[in-house]
Amino acid sequence: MPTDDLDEAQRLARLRVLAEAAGLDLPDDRLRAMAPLAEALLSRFGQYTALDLGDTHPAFALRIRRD
Amino acid sequence: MGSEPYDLTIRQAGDALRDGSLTSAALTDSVLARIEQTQPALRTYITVTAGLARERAAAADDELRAGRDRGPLHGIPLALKDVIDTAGITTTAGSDFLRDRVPEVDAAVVTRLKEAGAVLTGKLNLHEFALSTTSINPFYGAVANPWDTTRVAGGSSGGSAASVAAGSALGSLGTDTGGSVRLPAALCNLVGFKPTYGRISRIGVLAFSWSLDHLGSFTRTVEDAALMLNAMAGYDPADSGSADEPVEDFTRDLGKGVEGLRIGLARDLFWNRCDEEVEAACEAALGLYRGLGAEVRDVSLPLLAANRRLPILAVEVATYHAPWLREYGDRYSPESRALLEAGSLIPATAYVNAQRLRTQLIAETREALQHVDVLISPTSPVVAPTIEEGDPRFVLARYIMDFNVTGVPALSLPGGFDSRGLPIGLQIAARHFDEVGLFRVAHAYQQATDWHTRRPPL
Repeated sequence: MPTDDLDEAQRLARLRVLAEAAGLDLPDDRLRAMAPLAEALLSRFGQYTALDLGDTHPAFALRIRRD
Repeated sequence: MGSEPYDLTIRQAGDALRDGSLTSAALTDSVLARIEQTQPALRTYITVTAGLARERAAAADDELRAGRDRGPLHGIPLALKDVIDTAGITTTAGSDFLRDRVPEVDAAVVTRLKEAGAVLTGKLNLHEFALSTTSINPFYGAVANPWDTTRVAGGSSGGSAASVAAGSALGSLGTDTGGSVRLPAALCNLVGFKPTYGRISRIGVLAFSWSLDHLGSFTRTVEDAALMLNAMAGYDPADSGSADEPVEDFTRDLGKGVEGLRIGLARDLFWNRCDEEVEAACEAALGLYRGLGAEVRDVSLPLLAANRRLPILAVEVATYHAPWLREYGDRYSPESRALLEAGSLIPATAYVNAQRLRTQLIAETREALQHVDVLISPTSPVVAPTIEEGDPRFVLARYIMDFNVTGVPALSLPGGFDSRGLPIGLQIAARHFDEVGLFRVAHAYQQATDWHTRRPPL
């Protein structure tokens, strides 16, 4: 989700859509406060789509077993 | 090492209780006096349970006199990070809006410690809800580092580290979700240990991130960490992350040395962008291990190196806090609120794919640990920053989160001091459920060094 070509208003609007979908009603000052962290987290989203994860099941990560 | 009872290790204090040269009552009084002496400068405790501690110490002495010995923690003053529930005693999580929360039931680990005869001296300060690395808490004060009170003790279990470093507990418990035991241990010259994911029940401990949360301990020595794990480990079907694995005597191989063992270095992950003095101390540790007969070799973890800081923690913590965030949003610190709100925005597909990727990271780490016995690195790339500086870019946590993601046991132990006299931590990680091997390697280092015997100038 590249954001380099968006101005601040567009970036905040994008975050507002995500916030509303999450049930959060955030004023602009709070959107600005969390924007750097949220964008850093969202920027990593793209890298997983580029990886071949095959049919790896997510729950296996939570079941640690002895070698 | 000092000469006061509060300066003893758990093993030393236990020996003194059994040979009659010390009572639990006297030991506990020494620790309680030390709390009073150091609390104004360090702000380590949120709640001190002096009366209860004296009662339990007296009972521990009575039991020993009557021939009932509950084991190495019998009569030993320990303290708990304030996210661990204690029946009838406030458990605040370092939060403003939970400051009057009084649990009705002890956490499972507290029950185990009580059964082992421990004397609990109180509840320890931390980063608000354990959410970050400094323990600069806006509601209960910034925990100060005993080695330099203008500096942070690290976090999120800052009070757990500062208390043991200062002698206001002989050992303590913390939680480690992204390094929150190992980091403050490194900054305060202690052993900070987290076991394999699932070794210690988390029932009754406020969650941070369910799939990353570990309980852990702070002690002065590796031997003490093994003794504490002996009392705390075990399967708990009530904790969905608990591991149904046999519990061993974790002190079993402490004296076996490291002759012939293989030490792995993942330099691209854990030695990059490191302060020169920290790197030099850790290189010296490698030299020491070579001298003790271990082989040091490079290992490669390319998938892990390319995929750090997965959006797992941020999503899980935002999920856990969602009801509180709606009701008490204004009573979080702005820093914590921003983290929780940002975590709420991550798409579900990103979280699921991060867990899928994590499965592959675990497989890669397991494969690497087939070729070496442990991985060694600095714990933190830098020493403790000042309270004024803080850690706004999370530099302190650069090398520690990976072992929460992969769930392997890991610890930090005293690895020296920089030219300003600030502690440097050495991190060691081992195979899943090989805490015995982890302690063996770490103990060998402590037997050959004296960093852990030094005490802060308080």
